[in-house]
Amino acid sequence: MVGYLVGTRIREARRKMGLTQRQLAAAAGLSASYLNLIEHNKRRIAGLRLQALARALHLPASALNEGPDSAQLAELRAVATAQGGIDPGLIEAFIAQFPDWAQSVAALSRQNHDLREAITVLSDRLGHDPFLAETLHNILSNITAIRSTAGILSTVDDIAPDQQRRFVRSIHDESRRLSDAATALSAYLDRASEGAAAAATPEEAVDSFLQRHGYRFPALDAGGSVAALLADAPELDSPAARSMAHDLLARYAGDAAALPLADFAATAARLAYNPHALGRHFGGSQIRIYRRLAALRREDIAAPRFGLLVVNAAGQPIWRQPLESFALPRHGAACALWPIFQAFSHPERSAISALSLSDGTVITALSLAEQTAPAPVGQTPNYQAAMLLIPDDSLKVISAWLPQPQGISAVGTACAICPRKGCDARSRAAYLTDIPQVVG
Amino acid sequence: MRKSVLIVEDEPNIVESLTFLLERAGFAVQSESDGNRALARIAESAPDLVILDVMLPNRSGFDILRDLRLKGQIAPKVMMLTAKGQSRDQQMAEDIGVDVFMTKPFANAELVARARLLVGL
Repeated sequence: MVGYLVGTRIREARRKMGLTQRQLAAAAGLSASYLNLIEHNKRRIAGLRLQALARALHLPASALNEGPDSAQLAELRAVATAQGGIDPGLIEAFIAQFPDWAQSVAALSRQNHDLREAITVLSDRLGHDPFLAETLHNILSNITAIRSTAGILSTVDDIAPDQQRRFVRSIHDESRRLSDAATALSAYLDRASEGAAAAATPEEAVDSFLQRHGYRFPALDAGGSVAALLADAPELDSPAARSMAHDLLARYAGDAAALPLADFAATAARLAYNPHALGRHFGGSQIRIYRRLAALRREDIAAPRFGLLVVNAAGQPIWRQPLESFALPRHGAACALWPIFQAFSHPERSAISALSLSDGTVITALSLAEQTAPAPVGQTPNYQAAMLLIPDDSLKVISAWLPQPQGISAVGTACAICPRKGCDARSRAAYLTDIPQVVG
Repeated sequence: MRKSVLIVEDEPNIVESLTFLLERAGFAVQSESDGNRALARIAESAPDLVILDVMLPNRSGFDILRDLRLKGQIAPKVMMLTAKGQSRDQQMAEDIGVDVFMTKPFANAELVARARLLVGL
């Protein structure tokens, strides 16, 4: 099948370059009639002739003879199956002949899938929120009583005065209840839009919880219990969210016990917040040092306000503590160019990077991947990576030890909201293509 | 002889307007506000028609209807009246054996017409 597609790809590439068969054949040292047979997939082509054609088309040979991207193939197969009436055997030919269309169909299919998931989460929330269900039931009952009673008063003339007074009182009482219910509903929806109750997934709920606490837990630093913190966490509205938050807080409590805050803060200030010097001083995990540096974000401690991202080996965020000037995406994958992901290719070795965002902001980041725990003999170890974000206003404090980064890397936040064009790491189209971009 | 109706509903103002409407339409009307007592009231008074709310204290209208129809009885006629108007609720009520499913808020004239039709008035 792959060989069958090569001719189609050559024809598409030639047309894009505006060349005739004769011109391309001449440039590649072939006869026009032979090229015609190749382009119609009637002759197989490989080796030197393929390389000559690729050179003439200014393309790597791999662009002509590699199979279509397997993920894209799988996505389009799923679309074909879902729609019915489409021959899955034609998908490869479709990708080869109309690569842009194939990419668009796959992207639309992904967006459709994401939207369906979001709708499911939101309707699930509406369907299972006891407050909403009860309030809407009460409102409908109030309206029913008012409508029925008002209907009687406006259509029946011979109502006894006593009965008439009861009906008027009934409308009055129900109107007041309706007004109270509407006010309560409005206040509830306001709170929801402010964030705490707006979490649609356990990850969002945990994010809201961490944000409310400012990513710091003085109670745990003072030896308090995780359970006490979880007891006052209305945002954690599902068992999954509570379990995730419990794990994060338990690790924080472990960090606090191993590296007590007062001692750590004083030592960190003395060592100019140098994580490597702190690592030598305290020993143990370097990522734990990053976590403790990030925990210094407190009013009672004069220290840099670090940001921190910790991800597992699948790139899934475990701790998301953004800087005001450097957002960390809540949903989906972050920019693949972030050094935190490259850190997995050289574990236990930290790297310093200067990251330039599309709005002109430049951020300094330290990245490191390390084993989560020693692996038993014969088993592959688990890794996680962390990226410590250094706020601009703190660079002076730590410049004593901070080496100059090797150049500035242009990065984004996530492909979906990144305006950069021609980026090799782009994995999906941006929602908006007209985001203003700072040049220079 | 007048046809009888038992209104099983816990909102007193809705009971009052329904009572007024159904009495004027020629029904003998009784009411009950508690889900637990509804079945006993039906057994005692043997109404021709039950107008049954879904969200009741102690026992839901679905449970009451299920118990009524479990014995294979088609009497009395049951009109379910509920703010839960989702299609799956209506489907569930029909599966259990409801005669008419109406959602709140209702139009007085339609409710009375359907009630009369159910008991053959």
